[in-house]
Amino acid sequence: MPGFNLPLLGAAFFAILIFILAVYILIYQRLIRDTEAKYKRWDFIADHTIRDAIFFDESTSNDTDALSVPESEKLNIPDRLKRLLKNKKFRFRLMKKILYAKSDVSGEAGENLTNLYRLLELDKGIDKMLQSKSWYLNAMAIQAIGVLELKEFRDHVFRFANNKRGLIRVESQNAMIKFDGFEGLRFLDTATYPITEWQQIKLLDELSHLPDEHFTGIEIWLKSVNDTVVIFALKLVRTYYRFELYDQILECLKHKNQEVRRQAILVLKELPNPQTAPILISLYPGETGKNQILILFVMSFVSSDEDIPFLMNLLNDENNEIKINAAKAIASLGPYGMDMLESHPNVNAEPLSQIIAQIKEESK
Amino acid sequence: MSLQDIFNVAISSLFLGYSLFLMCGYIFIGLYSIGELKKYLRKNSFTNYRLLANSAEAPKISIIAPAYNEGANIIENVRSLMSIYYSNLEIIIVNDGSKDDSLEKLINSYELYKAEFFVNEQIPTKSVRGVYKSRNSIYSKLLVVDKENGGKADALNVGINVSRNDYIVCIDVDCILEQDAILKLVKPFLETNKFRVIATGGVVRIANSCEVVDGRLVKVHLPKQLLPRLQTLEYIRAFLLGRMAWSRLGGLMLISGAFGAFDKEIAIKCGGYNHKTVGEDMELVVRMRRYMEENRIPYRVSFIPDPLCWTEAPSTFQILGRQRNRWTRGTIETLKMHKVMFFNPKYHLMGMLSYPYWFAFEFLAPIIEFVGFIYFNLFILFGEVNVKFALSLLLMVYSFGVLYSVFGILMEVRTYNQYKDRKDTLKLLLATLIEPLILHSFGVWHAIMGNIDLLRKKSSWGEMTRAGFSTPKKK
Repeated sequence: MPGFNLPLLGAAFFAILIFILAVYILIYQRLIRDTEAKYKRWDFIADHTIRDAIFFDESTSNDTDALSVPESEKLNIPDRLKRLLKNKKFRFRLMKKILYAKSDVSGEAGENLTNLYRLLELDKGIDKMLQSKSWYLNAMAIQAIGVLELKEFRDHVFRFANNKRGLIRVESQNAMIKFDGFEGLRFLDTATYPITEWQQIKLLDELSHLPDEHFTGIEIWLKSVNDTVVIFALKLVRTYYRFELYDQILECLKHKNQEVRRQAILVLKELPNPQTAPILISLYPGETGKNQILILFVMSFVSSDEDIPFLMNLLNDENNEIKINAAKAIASLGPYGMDMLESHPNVNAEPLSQIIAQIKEESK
Repeated sequence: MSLQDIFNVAISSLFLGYSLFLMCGYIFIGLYSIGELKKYLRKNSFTNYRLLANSAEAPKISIIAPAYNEGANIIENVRSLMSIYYSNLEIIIVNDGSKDDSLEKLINSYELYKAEFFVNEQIPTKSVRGVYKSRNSIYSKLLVVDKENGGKADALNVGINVSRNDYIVCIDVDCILEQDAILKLVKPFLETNKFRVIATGGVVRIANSCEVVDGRLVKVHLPKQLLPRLQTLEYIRAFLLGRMAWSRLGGLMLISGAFGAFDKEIAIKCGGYNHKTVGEDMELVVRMRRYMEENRIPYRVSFIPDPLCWTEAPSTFQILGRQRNRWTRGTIETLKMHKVMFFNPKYHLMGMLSYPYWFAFEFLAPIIEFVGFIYFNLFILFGEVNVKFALSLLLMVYSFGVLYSVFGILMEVRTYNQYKDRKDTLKLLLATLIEPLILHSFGVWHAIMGNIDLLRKKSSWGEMTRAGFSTPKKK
């Protein structure tokens, strides 16, 4: 085609796009500024209402049922807020704010926030969010149900405990603990998806807010086919000092997954038992390098004078990390251990001399 | 048609084809990064990072910061690092044989004494002269290592040897970290059981003209100077689009040397940083990936789009030139060291896509661009080329470059919106028009120089002087 210049056409097309995008950016940024200003106003109203709810005291209130009765007048909900509630974005923002506030308070103040949530009829959108195809909205709804302990949705939450979407699963599992305490851990019985380390940290944190309880189920989870469930169960044993499970922990030392064995070794540090050191010594030769070092670390808490020959022998190991940890384990036995360390033929040679000097300095 | 005409058409088609290939690559990256960014931001809204900061179960981290002649700001820099809120943390400052008074200043300010310390040399390094700890329990997290000068890679390796924790975070000592930077960087290591996350990188942003008080960034401004401003644009493009897309693909090959976290066990198994290359940051990631591929261990290199680390960008052409020259040499050296992976299906995505991409886009692109420029100019001079066509081709490539930058700004505004001032955004948009002419051309020239220097076997890092961060003026 005469006069047809493809590159020039391309350049013109790009130039138009540049112009459109640049204008869009400037308009969008303007909108952000306006929205931020609007959000600032919204936040002021929302924060005020949330603060009122947190400090609402039923005993001093004229109407003792003020918060639990869905009559917004009794809560002094400003008209402005009532009008804003019609706005979907405001409702979403307020919902997030209440959730955030609820995570930081407990007891009566927490209950007041749940009541406020209901009073503002924010719970009406939960069903829709749960049915949404968006994982984000599903997770958000489950989080709200859990954090605010909206009991009427309790059964919905259980459905999601083994969901293929990680975030949905996590929120659902957390919610189960909120509702049922340690009993909520029952989701571990059937968990087929991995419980990530992040989730384990979250669950342990959630459990730390509960009063101590002799919960059951760990023995089942220790035998789970899901290795991450076993690892988490081992962490529970360690955290809650479940001495009666000592034998089951020993079984985990034979597990094919080295991470499971690693956690099991670590648990033994917290469950004092005269059998531990000999067991760890018998385990040592067949373990991975990483787990061998961990065994030596645990030995510095559980070993006795009888284990000194084994540990002294490791001071000749080629791996310096082994040497350091063996030396620390020997030194942990007190003055006798230190004497034994210093009786080693290589005591004046590097690296042992430096390792011993460091241990001596750190023990001061 | 004469033989020469056929040759001309072939060459022109080659350049045109290559340009289109590059464009398609950039379009794919730009669009592909959107989904990952959106997913991250949504997921992140559920995360309570405080949990990680306080948890006894949180992974133990060692921050390693090499320092060479940083005496002017070392105390403030270390103070900034000490203020990071994370319970399982160790901070290792490696004084790489500084000729100034860095060590004395640290000793005096942080009440340090030379401790008995056995350095387990798992990675061979230059000799360590001493390890210092503080007498004051407030600084119990701090460890200062004094060693013979051996370069950044060697200093980082000493830090790895000294580190007592499972994960290492390697940073430039003069970088400013966001308060929650470590928390965000560490989280990917905990999020999956399917893969072993071997490294995580974060977005590095340019701190020139930003307000910094007591080692903390208090207000973000667009750099006032031209060069840092153009680099801001370049960083937005590279981090927000490029690395995000590669992270989604699972083919990320580079984590910035200014700020990255690594699985220490794998880093040691791979032999640590390679001091034979000036691109030690990229080389380590490539080597770690290669190790995982060769050992058939499922793995990931993760990336966080949050702006976590702020650094001072070169503000003079001389220093910028040295930096670009070094980057080029580092890239080529890394590609050469791992050439076995090039289109090698044994290395999966790494061999079939990431490596060829770096070869085509990072190594070849400046050379082809330079040769193409010479070629067209010579042929225009001799009247062998249709000038109108050549110019329109140039215009198309230029406008595409601008478009890609504008798209980068759009993503920045839609996600983090760091430059809230309308004037800053306008200036950034204007910068897109001159960036291809100034920074890009300059980068191409220094990439060519880097290639030449590499052929001459030049291996120096090139001095990188910094002006230091500004503090708000007192009114």
